[in-house]
Amino acid sequence: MKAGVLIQVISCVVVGALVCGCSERMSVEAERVWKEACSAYAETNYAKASRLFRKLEGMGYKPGELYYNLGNAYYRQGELGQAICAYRQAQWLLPRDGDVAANLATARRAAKEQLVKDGVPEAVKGFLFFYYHVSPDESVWIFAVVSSGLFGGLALNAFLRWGWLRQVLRVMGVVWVVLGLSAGIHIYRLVNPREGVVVAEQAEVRSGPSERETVLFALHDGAEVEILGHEGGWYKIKAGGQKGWIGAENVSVISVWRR
Amino acid sequence: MGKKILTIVASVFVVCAGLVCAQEVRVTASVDRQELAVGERLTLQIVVEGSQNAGTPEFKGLRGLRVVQGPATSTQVSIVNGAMSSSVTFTYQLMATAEGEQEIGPIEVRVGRQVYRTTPMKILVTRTRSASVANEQAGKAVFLVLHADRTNVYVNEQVVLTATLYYRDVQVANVSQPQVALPGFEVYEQGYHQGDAVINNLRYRYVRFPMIVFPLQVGRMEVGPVRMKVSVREPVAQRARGFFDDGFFGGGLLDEFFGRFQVVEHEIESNTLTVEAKALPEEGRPAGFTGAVGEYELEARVEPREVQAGSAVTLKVELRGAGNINSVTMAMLTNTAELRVYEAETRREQRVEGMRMIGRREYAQLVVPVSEKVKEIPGVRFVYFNPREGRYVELVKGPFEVRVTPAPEGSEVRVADYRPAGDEGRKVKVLAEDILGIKGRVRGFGLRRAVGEPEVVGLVVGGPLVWAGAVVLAWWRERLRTDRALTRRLQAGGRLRKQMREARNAYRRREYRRMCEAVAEGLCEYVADQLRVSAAQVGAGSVGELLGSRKVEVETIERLKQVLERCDYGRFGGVTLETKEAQELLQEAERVAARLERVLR
Repeated sequence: MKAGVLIQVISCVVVGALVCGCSERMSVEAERVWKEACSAYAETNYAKASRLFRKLEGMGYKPGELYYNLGNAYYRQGELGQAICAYRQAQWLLPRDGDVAANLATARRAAKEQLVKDGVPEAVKGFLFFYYHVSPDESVWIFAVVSSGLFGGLALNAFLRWGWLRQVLRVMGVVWVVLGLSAGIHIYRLVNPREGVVVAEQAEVRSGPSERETVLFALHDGAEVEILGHEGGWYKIKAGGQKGWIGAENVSVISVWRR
Repeated sequence: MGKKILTIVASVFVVCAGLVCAQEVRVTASVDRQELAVGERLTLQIVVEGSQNAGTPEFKGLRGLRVVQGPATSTQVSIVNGAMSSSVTFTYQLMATAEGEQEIGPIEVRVGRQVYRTTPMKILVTRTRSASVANEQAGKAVFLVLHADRTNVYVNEQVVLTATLYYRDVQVANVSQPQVALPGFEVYEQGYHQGDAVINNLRYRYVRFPMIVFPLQVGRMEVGPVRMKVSVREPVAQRARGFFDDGFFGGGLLDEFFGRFQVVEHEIESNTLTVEAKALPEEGRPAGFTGAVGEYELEARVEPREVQAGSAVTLKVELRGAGNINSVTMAMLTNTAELRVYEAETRREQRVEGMRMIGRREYAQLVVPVSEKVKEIPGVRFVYFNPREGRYVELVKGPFEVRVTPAPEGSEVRVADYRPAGDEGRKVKVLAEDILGIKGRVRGFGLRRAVGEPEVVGLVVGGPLVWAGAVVLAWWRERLRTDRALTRRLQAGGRLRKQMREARNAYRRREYRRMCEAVAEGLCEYVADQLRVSAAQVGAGSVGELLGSRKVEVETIERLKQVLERCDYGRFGGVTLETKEAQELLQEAERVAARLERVLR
């Protein structure tokens, strides 16, 4: 009887959490801004569309679709770096979306420097699908649900010594660890963004964080770089195997962290 | 006298026989060369030491080689310092019948009741006679051999060229990658590996540099010679002899110790080969053949299978197999009136497995059904030539059924500008390519960041808390189940209060005897539960001693004793208590019970 009640409570918590996680809707105001932005885009008023999408982002709404649309609006305005940055943000949140991948590929082809090579083979991505094909949000939610299921099961196991339950819990334990690692890496990447896109027409990369330092090479709009550090108004970056310092105003950091 | 000689001979024979029997039997096999070409022969010797009574050897697994002569048997007996040894040698001639890495053995030899096995040996058999080049060169300290696993191939068929550096009795260093000009071939170098080989009964060290090459043109092509620079450490030949070079000081030892060697850089050159690349047959060549040679497999699928008109499905094609995948092209879908097709994204991988070039090529093509009339996405087709079977093979996947639903009411189906796929061959200059349209709706998880959400934190943190609570609860339950004394102590107060309620009820009913029973039972059981003794042990007479050990005040003990005595009087005295007496007794019992609960808790 007690076990039955406990099972019901755990199920309610898990289902409730899922419902909460999936069912959040935009506020009326946000819905209005979204529609207005989409209309502006349809009317080829891309500047207005991008401004409204940014406004929505400022209101705390950061779905992948917003960044995808924002990327489109920037692309139409010829702001390649901003477009690639937005597409990369969208890809992070919608990793299985073919449209995002297609538009990102198109934008990258238009960039003068194509410095980012995706070195992870598809087979590895398929094997580690729980990381590569799942967004940070999904990853955390799945981990949370599996976590509650696992610990709920462990709580049951404290009272009911069912053999099958132990087997299930062992498997869940392994899954929990794997998902935990996956979610952890996602969160780490969210909190510590290490990639950026050059958004200036041309930006000089120098040997140190100062205008007086020697210019090593130049990057152009849309070049994707790895951010190694930060000092004052400068980012230490790595691009195409070369390292240097670039003015922070020339780089848009690929981040979807809202806080 | 004759009898005496006979006895001595017999004794010697018996002793010798005993010595022979006592010897350990050892069976070994060896070959005079480990590399040869198809049709060439090698000599195999099987030596059985320690016995002359060996049976004929039996070959257990002779791959790619055939016995053409033997066994020729020879025996040997020797007595050294009174110790006799004997051996039997079986000699065979084996001919190579198939190319590749072949194996001899294990070979079984029966000696008496025991069966002995030799360790297996690897033999490299090449198709060409280039191995015989090595045999011709055998005897030299350093030489380089170039051989091909096949010299008569189809254009774009894989050939493995191997440059092998052999050396013996010298040390070589700074071996450079062999330099060879291979015009008309696509070349993939495969690093190097080292080993030992026996050539014409001489043991060599070797360094092999395999290369996988694909002939790109038809005709006879000269390959080689391969050139290579190596540093060879050689002894200094002519020099003046000094005091320390005499036999006493051991000149050789000093040479070794003081390094009287010189390092000489040699440039060595290999033999040449002729590779003939045949044209692919015209006969039976299917339309759409683009020149792929090898052995391939094709897989294709369309996702999703249900789509709205104007939205894209993805045609995913995977081509994998052995061959030069870099040169393979595949015809993907082209635009039709009903389908808008985007340029396929491709990805390829290539690796070497067992000296075979293995590759995989993936295509992902966006296909947009313009209307709901589209029922299927056309299939894909790939044609290649299989050189092993000498025929063309056609692989077809699809068509793929799809369900296209109409676009929403009032919305016009708009397809983004597209880059015409499959137009490369028509030399269409693509001026610009475009992106896919925006998304009108937000789905599922996208609206919020899960990290830090109360629900997520609740789930992640709550789970372990619930578990910890359950573990503590389960532990407590188990303790209550197993620790009777603890259970009694924990329940003592409740039972006392229950008895006191019963006493009050009895008082109200004027059943004073029952009241006395309830008070006495309640107090005695309470004391017994708290002190972990039997209730029968607690009474007016014993309560002082029992509670004294728990440091209960004398006054409380005295009051308890009085209550119990008065209860005994009420129960067993044969008189009925007056109402006032009963009331006082009950009040006093309640006060004593409250006092005891505070003291003994």
